[in-house]
Amino acid sequence: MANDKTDFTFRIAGEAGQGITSAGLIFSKTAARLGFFVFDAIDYPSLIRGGHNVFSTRVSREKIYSLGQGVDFLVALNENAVKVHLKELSQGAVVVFNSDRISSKIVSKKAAFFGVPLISLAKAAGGQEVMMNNVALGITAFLLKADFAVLSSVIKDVFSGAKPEIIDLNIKAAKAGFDYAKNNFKEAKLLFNLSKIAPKKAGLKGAKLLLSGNDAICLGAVAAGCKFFSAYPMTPINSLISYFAVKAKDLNMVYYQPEDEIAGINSAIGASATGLRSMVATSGGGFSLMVEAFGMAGMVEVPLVVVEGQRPGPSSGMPTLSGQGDLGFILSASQDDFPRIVLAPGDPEECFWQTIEAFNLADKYQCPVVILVDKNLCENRESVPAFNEASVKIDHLTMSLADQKKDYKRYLLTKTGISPRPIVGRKGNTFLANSYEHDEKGFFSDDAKIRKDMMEKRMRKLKVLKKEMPKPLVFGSKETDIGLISWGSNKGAILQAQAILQERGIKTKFMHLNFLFPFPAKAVGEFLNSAKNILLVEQNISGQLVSLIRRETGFEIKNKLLKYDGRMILPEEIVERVKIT
Amino acid sequence: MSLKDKFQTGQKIIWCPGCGNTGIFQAIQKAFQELDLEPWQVFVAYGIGCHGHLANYLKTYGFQGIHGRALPLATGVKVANKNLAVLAVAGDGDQLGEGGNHLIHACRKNPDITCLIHNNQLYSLTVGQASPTSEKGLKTKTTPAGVVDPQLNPLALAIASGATFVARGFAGDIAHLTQIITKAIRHRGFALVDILQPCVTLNYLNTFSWFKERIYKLEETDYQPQDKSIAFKKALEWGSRIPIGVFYQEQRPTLEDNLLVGKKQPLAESSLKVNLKKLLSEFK
Repeated sequence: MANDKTDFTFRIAGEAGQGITSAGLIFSKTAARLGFFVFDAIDYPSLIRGGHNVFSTRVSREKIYSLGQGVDFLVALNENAVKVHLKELSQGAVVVFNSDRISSKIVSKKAAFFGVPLISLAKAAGGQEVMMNNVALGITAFLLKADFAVLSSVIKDVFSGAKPEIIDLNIKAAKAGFDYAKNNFKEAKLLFNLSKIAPKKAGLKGAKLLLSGNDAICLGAVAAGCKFFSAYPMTPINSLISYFAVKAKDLNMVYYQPEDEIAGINSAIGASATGLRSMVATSGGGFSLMVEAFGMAGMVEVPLVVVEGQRPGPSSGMPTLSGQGDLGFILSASQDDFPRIVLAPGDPEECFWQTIEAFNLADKYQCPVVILVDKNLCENRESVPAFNEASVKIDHLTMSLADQKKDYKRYLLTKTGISPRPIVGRKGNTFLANSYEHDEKGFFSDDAKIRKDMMEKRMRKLKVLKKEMPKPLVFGSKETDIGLISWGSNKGAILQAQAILQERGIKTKFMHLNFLFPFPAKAVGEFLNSAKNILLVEQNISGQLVSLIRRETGFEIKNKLLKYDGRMILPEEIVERVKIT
Repeated sequence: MSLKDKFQTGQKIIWCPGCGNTGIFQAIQKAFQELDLEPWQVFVAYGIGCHGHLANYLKTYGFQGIHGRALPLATGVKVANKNLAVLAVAGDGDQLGEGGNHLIHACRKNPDITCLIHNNQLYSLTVGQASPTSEKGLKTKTTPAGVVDPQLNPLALAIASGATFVARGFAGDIAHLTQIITKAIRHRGFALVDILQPCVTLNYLNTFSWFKERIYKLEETDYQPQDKSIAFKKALEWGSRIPIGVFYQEQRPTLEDNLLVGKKQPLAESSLKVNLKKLLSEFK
């Protein structure tokens, strides 16, 4: 039977430097523009060239939350790619392989193999060897019955920074592939396709966006009016740097490349101290260097947004893989107590809205806010509904010191603990921001009463916030004894697992914690009380959320699915555990 | 308005009697007056050390940061609001030990910041450990047998790292120091001023009188501060004679010139509105 699979996985694999990432992006965007839901991920070793690179895109006619299992359409640019992925091929899979580099000996009955001289075709079209990725995309487009005009418009947009001749050559390479397939593979019949879905039928209303967590954080920061972004290069936040380095000028903001993470966070705090909105981004190792200044932001009461993209540690760990091992670290980083806020968005859509929320919270509570994400969320892309711009609300300070009374007090003791904060540099009174303990005017003091008052004032802000913060989201059925609880990027895999279980008649409910500190203890306690069988899911070895829940609610969660091999958590792993439970 | 009314907070001064910091405090205020600056037009970032107490006494926008980090803090301030006169006030252990990397890169990047190093050649706030500029042989709490490492030379380091204004002043000569600080603030770009500031309590070797016997002013010689290699050689002079004054000066675009091309308004005052629609469409 033809065309009976509505959900399939495309994969392109080869060596680093063979254009795997850009080909993957072009494929994903093409599928998205044709009306499909997309989820994609890149897997690469920390090598600039030569290592095995894999880009996978899951395509579906229904909303999807994670990668699927198995590969339906494999593009192999080298022989290793066939060998590595052969066992993952599903029933009815297709393999397009580079016959310029791969002997036809690899052809087997495991799949329908299509040998194509990708390099020769790229060169014949006037291009260079590296353009074989576009030839492969042309072949793919024909085999999947995709509209070539859509593919070529995507190529044009993806290479929009390049010279017109280069864009033209890339499109010509893709066309060469498309025509080659038309002439040679006309009889091919696949179990799945990319025939355009009418806009009305496309599941989400309005235009969809294809975003990674990093993309969404960039857009959220822009929407929130971030003016100063400072970041030292580090996987997995590098695409934030690339985005802002290119866009900063047009966006009337600055990307500053500091000499190290310490300079990064201190410069961002300095910028924020003048009244503008600033942000830093790093991974666990870089955040380790930032820790002292992170505490300073709390003490000096300067708003600051910190993006922490986790990867497996300790130390250098596995730089290009993913994990959730930094939660405990973030919750306790820097000496003594000070107010901090920790957000953990679960998908790109939440990344966008919670980045805006992070800036608003930082401004309102005048403290550091961490957006705790991980490599998978940072780099995987998925289809996201178009954002409603009217919902973007910015609460930014507007007060000028010129309006202030003569005895302006930067650290005025108030009921909420929040003191009036000025835009610096306008005519009027001055003040001292102080990392030492200080009095209401900011002057150093080690007086016992002042110390007590100031500690309480700063910590009081969290009490106010606790009343205002959103409740955790709960997905699934109310009438069930099976409760899943997790945080951050596991959201997608868990939602997908819930759907699979539902199909098999197993009802579950899932509490997704994307606001981790202050901790929503009451809501979590109620949830844990409402289900007999609780399964906690997170990606670290010690169960850092388990500890946090114990500390905040007294609950001891015994049943845990802890994954710490650096790989993405899969819906099937969760399904398996729930069935065992 | 008197200097005291204009630039002093009135907080009680806790430096030791006779401390070199008092002279620097005077010179800074006089330089502000000379430059016609109001307190709200100036932002000073401080590190941690004896110098840092100045944060409580000098009336401007101030930020007492953490040890060694005054320069990145000041850099963020300057980029955010280029209309402010921005100073980084630091110590020798603070800027040359803990914050050494920031100094090198500030010299390279050339933000329009004046960095004053209160150089007392010791960690004095922690009562007397050797600093990167401690004199060879000096007995301190960390070097009971005397310092063995060579002194770090902040002027030579700054010149080699690309600083566009490099000078040395002496806390015991307020009039001369005022002129140096005035020139440093007026200089468009990164200005490093190494200020010899004897610690009257803990440094028994490099005292006011020790310096007074050795110091001479470059302005009183035929020295010209435009040649980098001559300046580097001059910066190495230390011993029986110690030069003070401007060692090196050149003009180069600043960090803000490069980051804020074509922007008239300070970033901190610019509109938060963006065309989100256009940005979102790039992700379709």
